[in-house]
Amino acid sequence: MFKKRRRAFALKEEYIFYTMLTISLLVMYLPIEFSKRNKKVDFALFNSIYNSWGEWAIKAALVLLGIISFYLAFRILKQYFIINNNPLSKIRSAAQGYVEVEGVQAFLPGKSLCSPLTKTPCTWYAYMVEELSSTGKGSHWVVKESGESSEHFMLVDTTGQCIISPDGADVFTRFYKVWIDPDNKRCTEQLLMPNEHVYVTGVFRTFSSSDINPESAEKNQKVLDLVKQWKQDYARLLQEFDVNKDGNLDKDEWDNVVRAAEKQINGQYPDSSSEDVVTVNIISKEGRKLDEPFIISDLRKKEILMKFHKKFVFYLVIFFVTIVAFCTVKTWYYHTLVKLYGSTPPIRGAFLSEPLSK
Amino acid sequence: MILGVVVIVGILLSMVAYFITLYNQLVFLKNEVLKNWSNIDVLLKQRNSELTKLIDSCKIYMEYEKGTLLKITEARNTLVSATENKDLASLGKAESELRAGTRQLFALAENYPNLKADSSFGNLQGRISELEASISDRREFYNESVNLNNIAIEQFPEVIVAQMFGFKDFQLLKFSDEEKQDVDIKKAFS
Repeated sequence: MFKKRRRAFALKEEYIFYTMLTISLLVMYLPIEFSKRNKKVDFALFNSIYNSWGEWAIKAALVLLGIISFYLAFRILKQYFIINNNPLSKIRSAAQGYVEVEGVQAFLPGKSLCSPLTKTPCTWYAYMVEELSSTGKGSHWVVKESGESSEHFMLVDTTGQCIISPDGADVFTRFYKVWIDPDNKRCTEQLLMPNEHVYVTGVFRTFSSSDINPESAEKNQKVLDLVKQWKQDYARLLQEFDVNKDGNLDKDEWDNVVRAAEKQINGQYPDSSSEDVVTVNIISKEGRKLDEPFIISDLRKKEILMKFHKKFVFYLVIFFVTIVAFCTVKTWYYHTLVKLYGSTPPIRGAFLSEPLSK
Repeated sequence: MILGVVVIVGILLSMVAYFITLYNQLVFLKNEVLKNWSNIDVLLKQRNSELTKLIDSCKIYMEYEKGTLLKITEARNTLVSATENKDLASLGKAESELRAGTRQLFALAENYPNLKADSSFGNLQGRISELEASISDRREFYNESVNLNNIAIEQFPEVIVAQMFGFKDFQLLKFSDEEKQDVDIKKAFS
């Protein structure tokens, strides 16, 4: 029923809020809908529905909305502090773990990507197609198709490069386009463009070629096997590698043994040499703590912080609005009904005989 | 009446949550500084290990440069003890001396073709240069996190939480001017 609708600067957790807001509005509307007769609200019936279950359903929805707003406000504030208090790292020297990096976006070598709707070359996209659905009382947009890219792309800074895995990230883009196509469908597209600035916070990990290349792993195993084989003839090992002639192989001498074994094994692979150890840096969501935001954006850090600050204020205000609404729901409901349906309802029954008449 | 009470409760709840968030922020900053210090420490240890190998390689060829090798060894030992004692002032000085020493050593190595031709010397030289670049970056990063911590504990409203719970400032890691100077090649070759 509540299909995911992508917003330009919405965090993933915020969908809980939007879902709860929709439920709350629906719960508030139900007593009105149930008490309608000939398109007019029967206030006696409305009173009875409101007094039997309406009031508690509305209050329960408001309490939930308040809790969610409060939680989101302080979760966002915590994330604001994490982003603000984490200095930017350089890829060359970034430590393993949660980092913040900035650079330029690029495609992975030999790869490219185009957005599904406008066919624009991009490093990341999200899109949504909505259709206007008409019911007897009105019309609203229904999501027909949506999706986002999970293709990896590169971040290049002045000291190095790393792969970005966007799966699970909150992506904030400057490019956010909404248009109506010739079939009267509303299309939305968000893009990250190559050669543009990108800011990423996430978990930085470095893999060596042996971690990711099966051939390297196989080579390492062969080196280990060869060293084991040489150890069978220890006297010969000493003769060849015991430089200081103390009858033992110390750490450096063992290193030379391993190097010699690597050299011999590398000789079996004609296209490789002992110097071809490649390391790959990746930033992804893997290993992230619950509160650490995973953000990819073409906005500057300051702009992102501003968005977080506004969100904090927004949810705090919503929290206080729900508190006030919880306490004044009866009065507020009455006046809304009068405003919506024009006539002043007769003052009778439990609901309307209360302080409203004052 | 009820509305007033509920709103006051809401405000108090928000204040408590804000206070907790501020406290957690200061804990986060303190731990970041300690973590970033450890990240420098890891690289210093790696570089020291590479330096030992480099000195061993050089000893074979550079008989007449014992003074330079001794200078590097002494600076390295000072650096190790300063790192263990977390003495940032001595560490900065020793690091500068060590860098000056290694640069002098690499310059002098040009006079020894056999040493230059040794592939392990080339590899070690490259590895040490890489590590030194990374140490510089991480020092910058460490100083940035120290700066954020020191600003946070002095600014309002964090200062209240910092004073209540005794959060302290950290010292910046400074390298002396010697490190900023260019290598005197003439002096190195004399």
